[in-house]
Amino acid sequence: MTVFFFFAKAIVFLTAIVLLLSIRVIVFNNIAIRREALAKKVRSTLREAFQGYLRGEIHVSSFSTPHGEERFLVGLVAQLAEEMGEAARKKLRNIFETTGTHFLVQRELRRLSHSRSWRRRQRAATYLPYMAINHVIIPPLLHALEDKVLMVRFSAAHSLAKIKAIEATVPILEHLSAPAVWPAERTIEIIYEMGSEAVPTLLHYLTQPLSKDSCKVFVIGALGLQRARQAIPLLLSYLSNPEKELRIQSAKALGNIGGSEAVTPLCDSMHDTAWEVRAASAHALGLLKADRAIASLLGALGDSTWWVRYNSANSLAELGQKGVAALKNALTHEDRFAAEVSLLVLQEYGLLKICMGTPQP
Amino acid sequence: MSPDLMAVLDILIWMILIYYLMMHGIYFLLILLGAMEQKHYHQGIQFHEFARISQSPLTPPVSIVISAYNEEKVIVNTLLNVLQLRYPQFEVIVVNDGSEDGTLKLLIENFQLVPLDKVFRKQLQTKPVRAVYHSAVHKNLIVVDKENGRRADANNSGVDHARYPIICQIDADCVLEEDALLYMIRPFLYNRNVVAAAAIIRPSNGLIVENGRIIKRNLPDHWLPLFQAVEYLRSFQWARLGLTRLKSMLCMSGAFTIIRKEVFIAVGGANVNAVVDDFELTVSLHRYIHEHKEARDFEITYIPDPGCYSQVPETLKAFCSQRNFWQRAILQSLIWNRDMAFNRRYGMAGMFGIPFYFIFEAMSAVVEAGAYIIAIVVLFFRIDSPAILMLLFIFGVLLGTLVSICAVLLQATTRMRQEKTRDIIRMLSAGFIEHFGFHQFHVLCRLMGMFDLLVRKKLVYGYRERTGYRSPPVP
Repeated sequence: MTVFFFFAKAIVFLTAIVLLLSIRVIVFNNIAIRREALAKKVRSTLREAFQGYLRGEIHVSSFSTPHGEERFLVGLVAQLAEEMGEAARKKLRNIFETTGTHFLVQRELRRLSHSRSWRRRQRAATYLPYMAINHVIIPPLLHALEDKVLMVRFSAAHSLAKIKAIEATVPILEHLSAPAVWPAERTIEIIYEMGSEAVPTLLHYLTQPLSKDSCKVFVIGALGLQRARQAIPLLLSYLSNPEKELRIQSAKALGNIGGSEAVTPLCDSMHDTAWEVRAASAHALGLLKADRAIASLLGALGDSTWWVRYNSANSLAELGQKGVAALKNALTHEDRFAAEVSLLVLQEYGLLKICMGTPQP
Repeated sequence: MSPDLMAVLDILIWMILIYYLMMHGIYFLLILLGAMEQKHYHQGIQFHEFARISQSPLTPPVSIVISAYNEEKVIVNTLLNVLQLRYPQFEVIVVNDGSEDGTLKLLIENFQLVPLDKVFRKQLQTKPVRAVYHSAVHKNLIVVDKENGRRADANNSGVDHARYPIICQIDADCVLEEDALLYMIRPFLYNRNVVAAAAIIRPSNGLIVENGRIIKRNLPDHWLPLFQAVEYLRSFQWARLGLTRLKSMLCMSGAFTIIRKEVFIAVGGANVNAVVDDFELTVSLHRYIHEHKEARDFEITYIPDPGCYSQVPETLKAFCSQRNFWQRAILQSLIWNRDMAFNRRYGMAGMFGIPFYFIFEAMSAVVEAGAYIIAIVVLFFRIDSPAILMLLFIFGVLLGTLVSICAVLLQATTRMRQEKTRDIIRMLSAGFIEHFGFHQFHVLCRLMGMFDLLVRKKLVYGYRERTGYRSPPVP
């Protein structure tokens, strides 16, 4: 029992401490609320001043950040830059040069290269594009692409994409393609963020014999999102690549880009052995809106995979009058699955008067 | 009292004291672990990240499945709330699980539903579907009307009708934050191995909701929901986060869960024979992960952002019914999956999760009830009763209070703290008072739950009430 009494005393002692802590938290919460109100006021004043600066009403040299309030500066500038767009971001960077807060830039650069905490490195990689001009931040950010922590690499890649550092395209591809758990979509998003200026570099990458297939997936995805018409011939050649993932991405990209030259090759891809390629091709044909695809899409209504049937029916509905007419004809298709999927899509598009059990075209 | 009986009593008292010490000690450690996890989570969120996710054309589309049985008081507001979520692409599937009230009628009227001959691939066993409707005003809304089969059956039917690869299940009485789905999808974006995620649930009783939009986040007015708010804080916010870190979180609340469709189907969907499907689904997921080589790296994660609010009972009768139900659910699932306990094949879930839930969740009501009985016996038969009673009080009540207060205090030091000092005082007071009356009533409800499951074989929910949401005052 002695042991239990010892623990009991400890619990009573701890309870007393927690009671005192509770009082402390209540008091400090009051103080925190007041501080927060004050900080809100400072932020609001600074924000108004920055907005005035962006409108050209205030000169940058007239800014004065109250001592100790620099902590608000970085976040506020970044937030305003995101709200107001690229031109605002470039203009707001000058604030750090002229208001005696350049030490903040130096601090973040130092953290990016030397901090032991990966979160600090990540924070630095995220905020630097809002704080300093490109030639100052590109080398350390490129270096950060080799960081051992994926999230730091990810933030650095995002920042490089934000400032459209085209020279970073290939390093980004290579440093973000390695981890197996990392979804391809995140890298595609970053490359897409680079904008159309990156297209020649991406095309060049696709033609290089030493380029990795795993990276090519990202490149093709990004070209599709960019709607880069100059990529069409190359993408068409990838439709017959032995790598399934490259064929899927190429079909998707061709659909996103548009252009009649892709119709026939995509119709051919409707006979691919992989259902994912057939489904992607069916979807892409709907985006291309070419009547020539009707026969292929109609044929795919009886595909063995539901997604191919569904995408084909959807694409037919997207093709306009001729496609819809073909879909309505398919309601009496001898293949029950083709008739069912046609009915479903016609109803989803509101193209059919609905009467349960008895469709009326 | 004979010396032999005295000796037995002594041993029982020791065992109960050790039990209390271990239970509260583990909870205390889990709360600390949860707090550390939450800190890491918030530090990991990048500037502008959620805006980027919401704008990306590559963010995966989500099917939101809402099962509704007699939910006429809340369903319209819940749907309005869900349809306003900030997310690039999602569909909402409401499954009317054979409601006997005006749920379906309200849905048809408010969302202009028209019948649809939907063709779908039936992959899960469910009760027959009577009709499928789609909305003429919201293109992403589908309503499935089916025969009553309880929530698991309704969820399975919703998943059968879902088009997208990720399923989000919510209860019909839930209110979501505008960015809730963005919070939930985030771990899936950075890690292919994440297959399911659950999130913090908070009581919605103090919320003010207008046209499905949250206007104010107040604490509940009454003490009963406030006690539950403290309990949710301790359990949902901290302990489950800590358990997730230990790969032992066995309960993804059905009120707000997100899961990959292929995995949901692979585990056989929600178990329609379970008292409640969420606990059983989580255990099945753990089982699947450890029994299949290709699933070895799968992860279940927990989001410490408060994205979902759910109604908690406001009367003792409804509260008792709910806790009775939960107790039956946990106990049933643990009995079904007893082979996982202390089985190295199931990793931490088997070595720690299942035993922890059985010893300190399912059986705690029995031990606590035993402690109260022993306290009465000691009071009547022992000379040294004051000392022993004090020990039982300190280990059972004071230590529990300490854990609750620590949970409230920890929250007050995070970015999710209460905005008003008055609310912190109310939460702290609730943390102190809950162990004097409320907790004992809770124990009684859970004992009744055990009796209902083991003796009466009861599966249905029991008494339930819905109060609807509070609207902003008219100016």
